[in-house]
Formats: sequence, C-alpha cells, structure tokens
Amino acid sequence: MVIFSGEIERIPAVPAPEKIKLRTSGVNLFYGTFQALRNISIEIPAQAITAIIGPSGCGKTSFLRLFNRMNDLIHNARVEGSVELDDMPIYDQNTDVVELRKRVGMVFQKPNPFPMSVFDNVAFGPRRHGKDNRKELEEIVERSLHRAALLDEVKDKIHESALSLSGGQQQRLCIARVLAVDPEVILMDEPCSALDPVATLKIEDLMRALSENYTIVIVTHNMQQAARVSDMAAFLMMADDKTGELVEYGPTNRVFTNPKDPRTESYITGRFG
Amino acid sequence: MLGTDAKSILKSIKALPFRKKVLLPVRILSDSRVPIGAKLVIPGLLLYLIMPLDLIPDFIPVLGQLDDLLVIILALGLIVRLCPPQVLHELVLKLGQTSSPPAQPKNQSGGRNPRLLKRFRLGEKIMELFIFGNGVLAIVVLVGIFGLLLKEGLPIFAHTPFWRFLFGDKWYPVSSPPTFGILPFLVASLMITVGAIIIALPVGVATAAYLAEVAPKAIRESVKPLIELLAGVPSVVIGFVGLLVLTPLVRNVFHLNTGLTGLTAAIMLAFMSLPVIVSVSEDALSMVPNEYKEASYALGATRWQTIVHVLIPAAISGITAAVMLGVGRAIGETMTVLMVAGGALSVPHSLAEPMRPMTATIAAEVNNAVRGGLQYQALFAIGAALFLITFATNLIADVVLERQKRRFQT
Repeated sequence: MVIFSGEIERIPAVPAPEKIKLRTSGVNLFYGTFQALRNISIEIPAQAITAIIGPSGCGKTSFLRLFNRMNDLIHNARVEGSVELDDMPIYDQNTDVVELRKRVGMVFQKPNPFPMSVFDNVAFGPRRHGKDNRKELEEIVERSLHRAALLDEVKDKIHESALSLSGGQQQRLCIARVLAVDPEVILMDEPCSALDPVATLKIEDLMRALSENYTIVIVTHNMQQAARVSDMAAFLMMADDKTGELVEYGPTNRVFTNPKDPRTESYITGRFG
Repeated sequence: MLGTDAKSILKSIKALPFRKKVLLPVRILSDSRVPIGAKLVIPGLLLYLIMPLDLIPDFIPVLGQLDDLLVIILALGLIVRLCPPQVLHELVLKLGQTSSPPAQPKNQSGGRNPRLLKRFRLGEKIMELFIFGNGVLAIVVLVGIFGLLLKEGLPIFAHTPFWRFLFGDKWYPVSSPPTFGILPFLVASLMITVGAIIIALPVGVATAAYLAEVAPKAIRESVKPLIELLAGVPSVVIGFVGLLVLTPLVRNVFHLNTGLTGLTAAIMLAFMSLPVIVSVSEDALSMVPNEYKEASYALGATRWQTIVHVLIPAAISGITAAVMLGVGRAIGETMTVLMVAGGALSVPHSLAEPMRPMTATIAAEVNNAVRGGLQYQALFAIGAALFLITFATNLIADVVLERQKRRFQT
C-alpha cells in the first residue's frame, strides 16, 4: 500500500558521491545505566534525506537528538564515541551548543509553535541571535514562510496566534521557524505522525524541495514515508538486551528492495514492529 | 386552604412506607408533567438542609432539627399545591402499587430503556447541589463580611462626607470636633504595597525561575519547602526582626532621622510575600509544556533567553496570580507595618518617611474607640475601603488575565 507514490518525483536513489555532512563513529548513548544506542557508525550525506526507521523504543529519537545535543537536556545522559558535523566534533568541551543548534535545526513530533503570533514564532530564532531590525525580521519571516510553503495560507493572519492554525500548518510553521535560523541540517522527529494524509503529503513535498539546500535526517514510523521521501535509510533495531543497534544502512532503494539483513527484511515486510 | 384533592393526596402519601416516601421526590423531579416551579422546591429544600445557615442552628439538639422539619412540611405542602393533582395522584398510586420501580414494558432490548428517554440520576444531582451549595456559601460569607463592614462603617458619612473622608488629610479622631480624613493611610498603604511588590517581584520570579529551570533536582526539592516554611513565620516575629536588624540599617544607609519608615515596612512585606510568589510562580513555570522549552533550545536559544522569552510569557498567568496573592498578603498585613512603619499621621511624600497604613490604623485605634461612636464607625469604613481595594485589585487582575489568555487561544 503505497499512498501518493505516483505524485512524488523521486530522485534517483543512488547515493551521490557528495560530501559527508554528519558522521558518527562508535557512538554509545547511556541514560544512567540504560544503554540506548550501541556502537553506531554512520555517514550521512549532505543535501539528501536520510530516514531512520525501526520499531518503537529502538532509539531512533535518541539517535536523532545526538546531532543537536538535545540529549544534554536529559539528566544523566552520557555519550561515548565521536559525532561530527563537517568534520568538527559535536561533543567537545569547546563546542558552542548555541552555535551548533543554529546550524542543526530540529522539527518535533508534535507541532509545537509557541503561544505567540505567527510572526513572533518565525522571528523567535533570529531575534534570539541578535537580529532586531524590524525590516530585516519581516524579510526573514516572509522568506521562511515562503520556503516552508506556508506564506499563501497565512499571509492574512501573520499577527494572529499560531495556535489558530491547523495541525499541518502548525508543523510547516515549525519548519519555517527552523528555516529562519538558516541551518544547514534539519532533524525531523516523526514530523507527520500527528497529521492527516493530506497534510503529510504537503510536508513530504516540502522535504523534497528543501533537500536541495539542506541536509535532512528524518525519523519515521511509516515505511511508506521512508520509501517515498528518503535517499538513504538506516534501520535501527531493538532486541532483548540490544536496544539501539544499527542493523542496516544504505540507499533507500537497496534497503527496501534488497535488504542484506534478514531482520531488516522481516521488519520492512511487516512481520513485526 | 388545601382542597379535598390535596388532602386525599397527602393522606395517601402518609400511607406510603418510608422508602417510598424517599423515592417520591425523585419521581416528581423526573416527571415531565410537573411544572418547573414545583421541581425547584426540592433542590431548595435540600439546600436548606445541607447548608449550615439555619433559622435554628443544627448543633442545638432537638430544637435545632425543628426548623428542618418545619421546612420539610412547608415544602411538601408547596409541592402539593403546585403540582397538577392528577399527576401527583398517579405518581403516589404507582409508588403504592409496585414494590419495584414501575416496570418497563418488556421488549427485545431486554431491560434497556427502549425509547432513549432522559433519565434522572439522583447521585449526580446531589453532587451538583452540594458543589453549588459550597459555591453559594463562599459568596454568602463574602457578602456578609462586606455587609457588616458597611453597616458599621457607613454612618460615618453622615458626619464626614464621602469625598472628605477619602481625601481629607487630617485624622484627629479624638479632638473636638473630630476630623476623619484617611488620605494619609490610603497613600501609606499604596506606597508600602507598591514598594513591597517592586522589591518582591523580581526577586521572587528570579528565584522561581532558578528553582524551576536551573537548579538541580536535589536543590529544588530542599530549597522550595524551606522558602514555603518562611510563610509560616508569625508576622510579629518578622516585625521584631525588622525592628532589630533592618531599622538601624535603613537609618544609616539613607541617613534618615529614624529607621521606622515606609521603606522599612515595604522591605519586610516584600520578605513576607516572597514565599507565596516563589512557590506559585515556580509551579506555573514548571508546568510550561516541555515542548516549548525543547523548541526554544533547539532553535539555539540560551537558557536565559528560554526563561525570559518562552517560560515566563507562557507562565505569565500563574505568575500574575502569584503576584496578586503577594499583593493581598502585603496590603492586608497589619502587625509588621504597625511595628516598623513609624506610624506618622501626615500624608507621606516618600517611602523614606514614617507613615501609617490603613491596617495599622485600625489595629492601633480599635481598642480605644467607643463602640458605635464616630471613631469606631470611621475605622469600620477604613475596613470597608480596604476590602474594596483588595476586591478591585483581584477583579482587575482577573480581567487582565482573561484578556491575556484569550489572545493566544484558538
């Protein structure tokens, strides 16, 4: 059951020999004594969409949050191994987390606009980073909303509460809010799980359009979505005492049509998960 | 007064066993033919029975229950008169005939209510009534207090016109002729309260933000109860501390003749309203959804920016409530201001002067005032003014909050 597959222009899913944007090697993540990720080494290409799939609780979200150090907010989280953005270490004492998060934006599972106007939501990031010229902010907001394919819909209510928008619009607003900071990487944590199919399709179209300029990493539960939008796919696995193991990683086409690992195959064909 | 119809109905009601008598009001309430006026008698009766306000208080044995009995009989008579006799007769007969509630015609759906008729749920109604009664009680008490203040206080306006009372700057209650102008106290109360909040607000909210967002769990869980404990220190003790520690400090730092000033009182009051401000603000800040925080951090905002631009705006209604509670504490506080504010009777021009707020005035003079005399009336009028000020503050805060809320709701 592939919904809307015909309407999306697929980019040839051969991994272009582009440069690597994000790289992890031998990463272990612990929450206290619980190990959430095991020895993960992966190279994520720039200007492409990489999907992270796997059953619930396998550490997908934890993995995603490695890249903007959101795990820092969790008490007693500990990271071993190296995570790099453009060959710069992310987990280094001298890394400025604020600078990192400006370059690596994040969209969350549930649309979470601030209880402010549409304008203030999009302008939130730029304002925090020192832009307070009204004219400049207006330009940024307009450009970001346009890129997030939301401008036409909210043009007339830019100063109304963001909470009055529909769920799909709110999620695109959250994307616009990230774009306003002008990041290089956008992390998306199941961005469509709270949305209906039409809103989902819009976000997926948007992701494809954005992938020309941004590196996108998306966590998804939805196999069809991963197959539809991603260039690369990583399959994380959870088994008895082995939460957060990277089972398979490669071009989406190959992972979905010719998986090397039998566990990947049985997950994709829906035998579990 | 009662017709023969009514008499025979009353007789047949008497004939019913007790359990059936209890069921009768239920039947009356659930019958659509009974007019609404008759139905209202029943909750009214229940309300009277439940409410502590009685003609004869319930705690007096036997006699205390007499009024309840009387009311029940009166209510019964009222219902009999308001109900169409046929309907009531039918209801009573039905109750008399069957030992179980009137049997529903059996059909395919078993014991179910076949026509989806509205059902009367007694437990539900009783709970509703109980809650409603409690709400009413609070209002009754509030109105009662205000009524008492007005009753004792209003007569003063026969001696001193309202505006002269409010804006007169001379308070000589025992000279002859006496003058009653409460402007000095009004200004003093205002100055001290505003001063206290100006000091307490930033300190309180900053402490709350520290506890909610910065402090490690162990510190939060040990410091917060300690701060709340501060609220339990008796105000006389706080007054002592003010006299011993703060008064010389204020005198020396600001080079004043005396340390007993409005400023001293304001600082002490700030200290006293801190616990409630910190505690309630901290609750509000901790309850801001995690998603907002994460969104802010993920956009590269620092912790300080997240607190100032996301957490505090999102928690503003709770923080406002906290400040209102603090204002309430400050404006109503008596003992401390009586001890450290200096007690001067002239209109203060700055916080650094001795002054006497409204509460301190009442406390200082109520024992010397002749009951029912002019001074006594004037003191009650001050009480009424104090009540109105507190009431207005709360009302304004409510309106502001409501507007704030509505602005960002879907």
